[in-house]
Amino acid sequence: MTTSRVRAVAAFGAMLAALGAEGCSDGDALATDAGAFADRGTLVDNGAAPDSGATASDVTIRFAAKVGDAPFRCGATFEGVGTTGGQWRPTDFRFYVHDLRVVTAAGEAPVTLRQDGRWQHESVALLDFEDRSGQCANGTTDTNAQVVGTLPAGTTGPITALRFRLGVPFALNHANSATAPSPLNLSTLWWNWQGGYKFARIDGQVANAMNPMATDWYIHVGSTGCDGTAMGGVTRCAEPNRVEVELAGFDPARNTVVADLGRLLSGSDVRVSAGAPGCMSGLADPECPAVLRGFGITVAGTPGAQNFFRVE
Amino acid sequence: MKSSRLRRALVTVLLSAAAGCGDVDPVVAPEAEPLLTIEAPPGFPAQRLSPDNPYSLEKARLGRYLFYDRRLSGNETQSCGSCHQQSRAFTDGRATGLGSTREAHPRGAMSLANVGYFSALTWANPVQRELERQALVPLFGEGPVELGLAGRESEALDRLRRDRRYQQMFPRAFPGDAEPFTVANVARAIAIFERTLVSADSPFDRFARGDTRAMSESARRGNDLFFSERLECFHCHGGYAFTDSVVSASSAFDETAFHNTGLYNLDAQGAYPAHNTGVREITGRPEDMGRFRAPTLRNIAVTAPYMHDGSIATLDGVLDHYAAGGRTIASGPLAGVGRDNPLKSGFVSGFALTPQERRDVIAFLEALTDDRFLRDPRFADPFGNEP
Repeated sequence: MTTSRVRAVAAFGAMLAALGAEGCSDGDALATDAGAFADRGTLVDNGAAPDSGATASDVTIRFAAKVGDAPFRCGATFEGVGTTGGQWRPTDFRFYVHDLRVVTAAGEAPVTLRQDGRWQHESVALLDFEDRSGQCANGTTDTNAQVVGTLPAGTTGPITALRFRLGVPFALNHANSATAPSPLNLSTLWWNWQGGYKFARIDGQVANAMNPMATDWYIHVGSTGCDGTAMGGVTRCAEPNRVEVELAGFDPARNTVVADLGRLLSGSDVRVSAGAPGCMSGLADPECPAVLRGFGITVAGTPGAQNFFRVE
Repeated sequence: MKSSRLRRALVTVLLSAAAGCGDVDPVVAPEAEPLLTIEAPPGFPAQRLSPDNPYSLEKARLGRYLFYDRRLSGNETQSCGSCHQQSRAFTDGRATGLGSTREAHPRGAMSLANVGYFSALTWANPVQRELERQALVPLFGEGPVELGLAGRESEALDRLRRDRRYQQMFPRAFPGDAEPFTVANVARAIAIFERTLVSADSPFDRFARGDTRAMSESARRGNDLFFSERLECFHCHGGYAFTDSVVSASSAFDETAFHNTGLYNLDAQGAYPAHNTGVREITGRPEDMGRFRAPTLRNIAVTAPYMHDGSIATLDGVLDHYAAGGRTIASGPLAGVGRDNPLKSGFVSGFALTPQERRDVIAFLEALTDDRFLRDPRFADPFGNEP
């Protein structure tokens, strides 16, 4: 165990302390400075009223959850999941995205999110495909499959791509989650062992002929290896696990972002789970490399190849 | 001031004598008008109140008296505070509850520390959401009888109406009501008092606020173990309330969770004892067998015995249960291998602890004890009956 003695309490202390991350950065931000500052810019933009010229245009980015080609649904059993064809009965399917941008011939334009007090806060939106039915018994009845916002005035021409980041931006991730607004105040998405949030929580139970007793398989992605003090101020996470996603050929008017659990698990044997059940971002967990790389995360020097999101 | 205090003390003595409970410790006699607030402590969100029951100090003070008033039981032997004793973080030290008529309750009294933040109340009832409604269960429930007021509400309200203190307090707490002495108002006042029971000053909290000496080295090591993927405790006992069923003023969505921890497995199909099946008792769904709410771990060291039925005596025993990935009962009517319960939460997968690590985890759990909360005179029994 490499955890420093105070780190976990410090991470938890982030919930108890006020914003402790002011002016901080993390490994992610260090690696891609421009992206990190673009984050900030988006936050500031959100605080400002759009130009009164009333030329900002509404935009809706639609999402869908699937397991392969089958639409995701709590209560369903999905066959043929993973390398050995497991049966997957979902118990959760939620993830955060932030810093959405569209690409036109003129370049990149940020999507300024509508502040709805529910699914969207600052630059972050929660996509939620579980409805508490079936085995998804510890979720919420409400679901959300879209991100709603505006594009800046003067954004013209066809949209050719979508860019966003999976997860919660650094400053919000390490603020006090207990006093955070929705959708950052859902305790089932708190990442209590490191502070911050589960960027994605995709859980299921696996059954098959060899193992008829369903066993839980969890996919929890979040920042790990975070530092901090007793006051909770996390300044850096060794593994931010905040993924930049680019989807070419995406036009909001015609396309949907599909989050595909089947493809994400295409390199995993979900019949087995050594250590923690599934992958909860532990670096030593043998199930993690395949899953994390499927999100596009570099693991042990091997770059990821994002296969979770695609355009339809 | 002095004479009114004397009178109050005298009333307390008389009331206690009438209820057949003699000794009154004058030290326990509370301040005349305690400041009972529901303000969020540092790092906590604001509570979400029931829309028809806004906070007022008068209501909180009335609620405190009602909470501890034995006239709110059919035979005037028990109050809410009989099973929810402050010195035990508002539990009673019993494995399972015992009502005013000596009828046994299948489950143990839950702590009321931070109860204003719980999205689901009681051990295993997904539809029990509001303190105002929950209070009616112990007051009027018949299966089991707790306070035993079913069919006797007029009698109980008359008892309150005759009391000179309540003749002042009820109209002040419910100033718009032509008839403030109602069952609904009793529940409202008790609910507001319960909301004031906020525990946020344990060594853990002080450490998190920057007092590095608040927690011992051992407790700090235990903290790391508690919040590790190795033990997985935090999945269900995480967050400021140390439970995963929480609600606050900023909550946009309903969030409640119930878990089967493999405490029993009577038939290899996951069965729990018939009188204690958890959420299944409410929903009738087979898959809800054995699912119970994760209780808060704040003040856990003073709330033994543990689990919904008090079937584990010590924190050490609780660690045995989770380390084994579920409890095995070798023989008798409850025999079964809880580890193999097919309905068990995947987070209860077992772990091994060295003796030192075990001491560390327990030291951490003990660091969640908020002594100030347990002794706060604002929350004490004004009648001097309950510890």
